[in-house]
Amino acid sequence: MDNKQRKNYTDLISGLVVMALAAFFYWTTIGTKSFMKAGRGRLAPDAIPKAVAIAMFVLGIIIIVKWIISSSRGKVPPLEIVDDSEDCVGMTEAQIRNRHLFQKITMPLTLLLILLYLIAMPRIGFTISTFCFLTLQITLLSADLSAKSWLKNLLIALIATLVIYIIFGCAFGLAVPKVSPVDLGLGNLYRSVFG
Amino acid sequence: MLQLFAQGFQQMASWLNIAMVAFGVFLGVVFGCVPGLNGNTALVLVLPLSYKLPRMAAFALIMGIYIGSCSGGLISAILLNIPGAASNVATQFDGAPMARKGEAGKALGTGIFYSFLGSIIGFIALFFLSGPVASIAINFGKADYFWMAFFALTMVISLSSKNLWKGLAVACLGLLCSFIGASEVDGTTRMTLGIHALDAGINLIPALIGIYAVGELINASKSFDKKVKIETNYKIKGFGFSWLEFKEQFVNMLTSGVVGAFIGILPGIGGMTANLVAYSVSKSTSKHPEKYGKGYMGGLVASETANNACVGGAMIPLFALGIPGDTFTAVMLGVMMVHGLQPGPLVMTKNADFIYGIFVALMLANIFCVILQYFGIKLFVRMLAVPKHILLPIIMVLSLVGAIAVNNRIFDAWIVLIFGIVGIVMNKLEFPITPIILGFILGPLAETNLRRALMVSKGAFLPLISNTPSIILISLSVLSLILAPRLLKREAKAQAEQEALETSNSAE
Repeated sequence: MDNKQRKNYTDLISGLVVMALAAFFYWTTIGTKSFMKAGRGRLAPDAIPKAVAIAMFVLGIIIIVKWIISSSRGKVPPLEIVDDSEDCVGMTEAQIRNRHLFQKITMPLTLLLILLYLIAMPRIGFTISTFCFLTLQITLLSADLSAKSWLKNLLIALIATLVIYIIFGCAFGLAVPKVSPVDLGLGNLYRSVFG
Repeated sequence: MLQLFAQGFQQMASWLNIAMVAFGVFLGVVFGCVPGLNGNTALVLVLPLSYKLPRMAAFALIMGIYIGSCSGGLISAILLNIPGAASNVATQFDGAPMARKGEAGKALGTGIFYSFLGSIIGFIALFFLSGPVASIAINFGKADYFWMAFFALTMVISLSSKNLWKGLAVACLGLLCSFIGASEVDGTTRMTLGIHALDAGINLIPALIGIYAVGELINASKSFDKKVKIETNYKIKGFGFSWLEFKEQFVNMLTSGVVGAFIGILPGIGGMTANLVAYSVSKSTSKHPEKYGKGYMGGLVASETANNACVGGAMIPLFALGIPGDTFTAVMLGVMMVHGLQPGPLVMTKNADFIYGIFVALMLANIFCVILQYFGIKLFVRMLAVPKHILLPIIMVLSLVGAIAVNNRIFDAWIVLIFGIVGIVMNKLEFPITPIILGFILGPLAETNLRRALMVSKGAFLPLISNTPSIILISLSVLSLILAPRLLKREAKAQAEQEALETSNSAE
């Protein structure tokens, strides 16, 4: 195994993120209008949020300063590189490369899929959007793009969607978006069978 | 008290409730033993169901999951040499060597039995402490409430953070998120950026699902193809240990139970700290510390008693004060609110029959847990091979349905996504997650009471720190900042020693 070590910027980035978020929240408090008359001991509704945001900003600075001090003394431990060679026993070079690629893209693609799912759900209804989301997400996690796997995943997604929709959307009457003919049709079918 | 208990029985006495406890335990054990899934994931999965069930049945289900998931991890810790959940890490230290020595049956029996005893210790703590704690808190003034929230927050920050400053920073983030929307004192909406859906603030459940579940699911998806070797050579006869061994372990069991229940009470940490600390305490007080880590029953007893004792402990602040100690109890708090209960010290008196019903459900869950694990062990072992790439997306869909159904709007699903991204970023940057959650829950409590107290005192600060409960709570906050690092050292020590032992074992 090669022992290349990368410099650890985690806390520097952490401090910057904390400062940015604090600034953002401070900005959202600007322009708050209170219905309450000011008086002794009466804090304005934005006083405490402002104070907390300022405190958070200062904490961001402290985190960065601490990082600078300890990194100048060489005390920041280098980034750990995850060793998964044990899991890769018996895999070909190409399989290992594929595996690492999938590990890298799983998270952003999962978030993207959830984003698209949420955009689609109110527009095309619960059943169709859920069916598409499940098929794609299961395929993504299975890391297998063969035709056989697609077919299996389609079938699983179909059954899961129907079960979830009939239990939660129809029987429990939860307010999932019912838009498409499929949503409405299934709802009618459920009512005609169970009353 | 007996009368209340009888009322509790009455509340629980229906087939639906009993079935829900059993179902919950089953689900809890399965999610507990599959590495990468845990009790929180199981809870998220049943959220939509829990809204629609009658109140008692919903909490019977939740209690079942809580108990089951705490215990279920022992199966994989022993047979797979991978802890099923963080609360079973120390179980693996002695459980896995026992299995290698051909004592898997004894290890499983011991684990299951002492989980049961641990739950009983936790239950006793819950039963006898929650009432008195609530009756103290009922007399709290506004300033006292503020300091109570302050104390809970300092505890969480000092206990859950390796880096205190980062803990403080994310607690601030949680507070700021909780301030969004109408302020409780004067009804002024603030920080909404003109988005009307935010006028009533961010709901707890979608925020928790996002911060916790989305990140967890994505993390779990990374480990789905880890190769595992299951120890299949085992037989359970009785519980596998003798009366003499039971007597030998009695003191160990009691100490570990007390340690577990105590750690459960502390906010911000739970089973995952309890089992390691109890293991370390047990080892340092034992007559045979050299046996630990090599397949000694005592280590297993300490870990499994402590993590289950934690459950009862963790519910004391939830019921008595309305302050949850970990993610699981935080979600429970959210479900309580969906079912129209206002958490706080008044719940213990106003909804006493319901609370005692929960106590009964807890006992029932405990009994089911022993029976299910004992007779169903073969089934649960087979569950370890459940295809996670199929299960995780389905849990994702159900958690979004659970978020949408809280207020019947898609907006809350967006909250899940946003908080999910926050959770992933925080995780990546090594921020502790619990302070955000507790900050979010305690924010309104702290702010409202501080503002009201200041109104009463006409802006003077001295009256806020001069009555007895306030002084005690302030001292406790200071104390927690001093003492918490010691507790954490103990946890780290147990883990480091075990790692050293393992490397020396593998070198031999």
